[in-house]
Amino acid sequence: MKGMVFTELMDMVEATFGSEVLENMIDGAQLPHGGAYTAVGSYPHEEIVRLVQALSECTGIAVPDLVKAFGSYMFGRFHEMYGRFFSDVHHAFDFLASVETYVHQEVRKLYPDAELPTFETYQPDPGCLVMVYRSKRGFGDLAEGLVIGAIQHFDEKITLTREDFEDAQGKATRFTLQQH
Amino acid sequence: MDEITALQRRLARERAARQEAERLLEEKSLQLYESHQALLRRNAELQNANAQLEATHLQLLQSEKLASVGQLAAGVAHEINNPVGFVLSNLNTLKRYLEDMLQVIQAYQGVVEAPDPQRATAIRQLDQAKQAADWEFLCEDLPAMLVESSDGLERVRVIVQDLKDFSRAGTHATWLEADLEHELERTLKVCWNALKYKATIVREYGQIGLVECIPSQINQVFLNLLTNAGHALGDAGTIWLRSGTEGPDALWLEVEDSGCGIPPENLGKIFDPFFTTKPVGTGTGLGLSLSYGIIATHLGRIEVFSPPGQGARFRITLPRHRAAEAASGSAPGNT
Repeated sequence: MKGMVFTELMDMVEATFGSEVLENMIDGAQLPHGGAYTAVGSYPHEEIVRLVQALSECTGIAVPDLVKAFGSYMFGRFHEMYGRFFSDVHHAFDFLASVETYVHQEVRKLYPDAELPTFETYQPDPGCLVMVYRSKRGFGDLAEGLVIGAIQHFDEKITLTREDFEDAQGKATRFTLQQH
Repeated sequence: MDEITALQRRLARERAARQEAERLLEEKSLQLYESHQALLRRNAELQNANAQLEATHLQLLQSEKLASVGQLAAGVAHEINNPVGFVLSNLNTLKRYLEDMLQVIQAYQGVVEAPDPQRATAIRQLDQAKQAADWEFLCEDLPAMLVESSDGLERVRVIVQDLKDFSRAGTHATWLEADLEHELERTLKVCWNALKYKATIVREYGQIGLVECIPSQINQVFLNLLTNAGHALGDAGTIWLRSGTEGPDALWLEVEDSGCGIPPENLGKIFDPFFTTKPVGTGTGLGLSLSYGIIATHLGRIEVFSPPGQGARFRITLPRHRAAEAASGSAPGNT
């Protein structure tokens, strides 16, 4: 997993809960390198799980809720750092549909070895977008947080439903976005 | 945990992260350097392969040219044989004329040396010798025969020179200013024997002037077009040779025949390598393919027009100068 995810988590925790909670989270996660992450590095994804679990213990907030909140926060940061991805995008549907075809292609230019999840999208009707998230890491909560962040960013009236399922390709999460 | 401890820990983490980032940067730089080196190697390999390909193409071009020369050899031999035949015949006649002249000269000698009483007899003998030699005709025919023989040998010299120019190695691909109407005529001479009994040549030249080109290669194209036109004619027909200009920087040449034309299903394939409709052993199937390549090298284009049953018209369009083409950036082939 790219180091940026870890550094952003640290920033969010410090901004939201303060530096003491941050230090406690790092101690609780018992990381091999003491929590020294660089955005351009790559780290085992298990470390993010350990960090979030430690944060949950420190704050008493359930892990899925923390991960979703982090996902929404990540979307905001993503928008700040990579404004070019949003220059011609004015709706959540358009942005979410471009993740696989455009955003991930750009990410691969910088990080050819990045193990990216897939976001397959289709529109059964113009007011509905279905997005299927697949990743061997199973971070459906993080994906949900990102989708929520996108909906909030574009300030659109959209109902989101989530369904975890398993098929021949493995575990996946289906998000259905319905416009009002 | 007090704030100072938290800050110290944070500083330590950031220092460690910076060191890690620097290590990654070095690693990436090394990867980049190695990728660059690999690209340079690959580029050198590609350049090498390209050079080999170019050399092979030139060899192919030369092979095709020599194959054409081989096919033309019989015709050229006939073209040479014909004047050589009449020059030999003239030499035999000249030998006889010489004998007759010597007889007449001897008779004159007799007149000069004869004493007076016998002079009248000597003069009679001289008249007889002149009559026997058909002296007046001989005096008239001899210079004409020499001129004819000289012309015949000149024809042989020109044919041999044309053939030599034509078969000159294509590896010496020298760009020259050439008069392509003149070059077309020269190529026509090389293959004339194959055309002269069946083709009426109609020339509609537009005086296109000089063109920067590789003449030996363009002649190869002309030969292919003329040979194909000859084959298409069957027993008899017309071949039109035309030229003209297309704006100030481009010109065109056409070879059109009144032959059988090209079936629509073959029009898209005629420039493909090894495509031929001629019997096995007659065509290599490379002529038009190589012609296409030659014209492309000249940044020109070659087009074919063949309405069903109405013969075929091949048009070559070329830039007048290589430099003008490079400066304008639009090859006639791209228009």
